[in-house]
Amino acid sequence: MLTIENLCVRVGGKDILQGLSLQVNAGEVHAIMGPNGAGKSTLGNVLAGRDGYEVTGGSVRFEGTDLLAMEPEARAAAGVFLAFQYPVEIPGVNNTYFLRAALNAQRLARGEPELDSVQFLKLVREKLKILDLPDALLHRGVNEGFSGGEKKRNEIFQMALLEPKLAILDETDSGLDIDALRQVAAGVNAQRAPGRSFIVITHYQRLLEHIRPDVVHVLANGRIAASGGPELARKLEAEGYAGLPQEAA
Amino acid sequence: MGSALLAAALREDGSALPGAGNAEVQAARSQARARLQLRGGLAHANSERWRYMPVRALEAQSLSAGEAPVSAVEPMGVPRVAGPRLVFADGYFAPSMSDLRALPPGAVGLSLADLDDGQWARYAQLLQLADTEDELDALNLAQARGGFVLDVSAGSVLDAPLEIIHVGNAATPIATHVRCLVRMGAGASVTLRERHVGGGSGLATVSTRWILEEGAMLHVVQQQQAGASLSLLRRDEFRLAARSTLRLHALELGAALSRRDLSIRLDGEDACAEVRQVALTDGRQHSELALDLRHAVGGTRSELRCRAVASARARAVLHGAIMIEAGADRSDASLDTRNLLLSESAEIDVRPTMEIHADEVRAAHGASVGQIDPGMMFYLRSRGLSQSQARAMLVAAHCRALLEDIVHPVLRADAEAALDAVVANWPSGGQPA
Ligand SMILES: Nc1ncnc2c1ncn2[C@@H]1O[C@H](COP(=O)(O)OP(=O)(O)OP(=O)(O)O)[C@@H](O)[C@H]1O
Ligand SMILES: [Mg+2]
Repeated sequence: MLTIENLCVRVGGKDILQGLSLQVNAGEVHAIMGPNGAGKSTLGNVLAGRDGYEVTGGSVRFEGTDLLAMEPEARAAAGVFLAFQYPVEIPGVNNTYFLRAALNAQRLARGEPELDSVQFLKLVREKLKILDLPDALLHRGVNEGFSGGEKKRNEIFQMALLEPKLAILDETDSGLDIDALRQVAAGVNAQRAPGRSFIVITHYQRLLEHIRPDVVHVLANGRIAASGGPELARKLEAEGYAGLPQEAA
Repeated sequence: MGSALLAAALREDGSALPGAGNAEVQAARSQARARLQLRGGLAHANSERWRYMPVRALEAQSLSAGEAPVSAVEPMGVPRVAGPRLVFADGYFAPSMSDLRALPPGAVGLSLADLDDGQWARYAQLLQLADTEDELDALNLAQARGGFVLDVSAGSVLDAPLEIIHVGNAATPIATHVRCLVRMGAGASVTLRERHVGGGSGLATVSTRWILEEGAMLHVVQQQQAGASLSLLRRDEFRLAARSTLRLHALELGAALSRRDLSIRLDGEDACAEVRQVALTDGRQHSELALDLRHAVGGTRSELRCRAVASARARAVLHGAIMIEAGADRSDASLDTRNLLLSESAEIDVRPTMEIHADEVRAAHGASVGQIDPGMMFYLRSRGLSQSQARAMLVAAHCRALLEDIVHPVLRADAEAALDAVVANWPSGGQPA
């Protein structure tokens, strides 16, 4: 589904990703861990198409097409979703209005019929149940005045609604209380399907007990420094990143 | 520099205009002409108040007065609402489209063309010129053909709301001048919407005096969606007596050139004016707000919030002064403007001044000109919205914040819809043409 080869990215004059390669197959869950500032969010942002990230080498193919050549909205319509580490507040843009416009823009781009407001609301109700989000949040501005945890849950709610093929969750677990963590994990698990893949960026092993990853990677020094099964996450939790080989493949 | 506009105004002898047989009216019109002649047209040399305007282009236009539309033109895009309404088509009062039967007892609506001598005397404020420097008001008085008087007696309530519609219809460029007086007795309460709609080109001026007696409450929504080649010059002068309240929501969307002279005088204790103005400009549009707000006595309050958006090669301007006069102690004045500049070729000038000559005053002044937040833009696009959809959403949200406190739900919904429609249909999509 996603093939990243030798990706090099420069941000603000600094080389952050330096030859990162990663293969994610359909239906797989990959966890990415790594020290602060390693470039995990950079990877997520580059995949979603944010401005200001200069790709200086390598390639990214998503279902066979060159992802880096696409506009952010085209990537979304193709099925890429980024749950932001820091979701922005957009006062005055009503959450429901925004979500319906976004979903319909994606459907239109894919040649699918738009949903009318009745169909849309039915879908919303269905997805809200999974995340136990209060209705009231839907009527507010996008993330406007949401608590940290509400913002993160809203990201997962959006993911559930938009049903992407590849979801990149950037520290969605940070700042969540224990119950919210379970709900978010349940939201993700409910979405797991043979045709859907996840890249879960996290600092904590705890999330990975709820969302069982197929592969765990360590991002350090601008590339994947180590990969392994769920046991790698447990090892990192116990020993930290210090023991990692400096130049491992 | 020849001013065709001035020449036309000086040629007008008033003999075919309302009040032709009334000596007071004729004297006032001739005084207005004298004023114009003295000042040499609109742009007196070095005049601060006209410095942002493309005055030469405006004055060079040679325009006829136009004619009364022969048949009823249905104001485009204006749904008929139940309730009283006054329609002006190409500057002429259009009785067949108007309906004053729905005015409540205690409220009188009169067309300028129908005023008798007694009424001209009673509504003599129509004939007063604004201060000595105001060329626009003189231009309007010298040539006003259409107009109305709304006289609401003390304690009367008009919350239907009253609709005033200016519709442009003529196929060729014309000049129209409409002059109005709204008088509210003590404790009267009025909700009113005034709109500029339709096509039309050339020049339109509207000059309205709004007089609020003690404790009167006026809520006005002005929705300017005039034709894309019209130059519209509006002058609104509000005089507020003690404990009266003005709430004005102005939405500037249309016209090639739109200037609003907003004069507000807080003349009595505890008078309060709340103004919200939204101006959206695109293409080569010019939208200007010239402010003259005076706190004349103590304990008065004014709160102005403006949001302008300029894209393509458009220009939005806010200038003028808020003045707290000597003795107007304990007054409270605030001005907050937040503007969005969407293209490098667009321009936003925010140059209001605040003069304070009194004590124990609260005065706040905030102004900003910024761009659309790239983080918000990316968030919306990452969810599948196109760049232009995302921009429309963010611009509309920026402006809609000022429409939230329109109390009347239908007026609020209409204003929001008008805003959304304009932003969604910006032909240049906010990029330089
Ligand atoms: N716009 C920018 N200008 C300069 N440096 C930047 C910019 N954006 C990111 N960086 C730098 O790039 C590096 C990688 O940042 P990134 O956000 O990808 O790290 P991260 O792995 O997600 O860290 P964390 O675990 O703290 O979220 C950091 O050193 C950061 O300071
Ligand atoms: Mg990060």
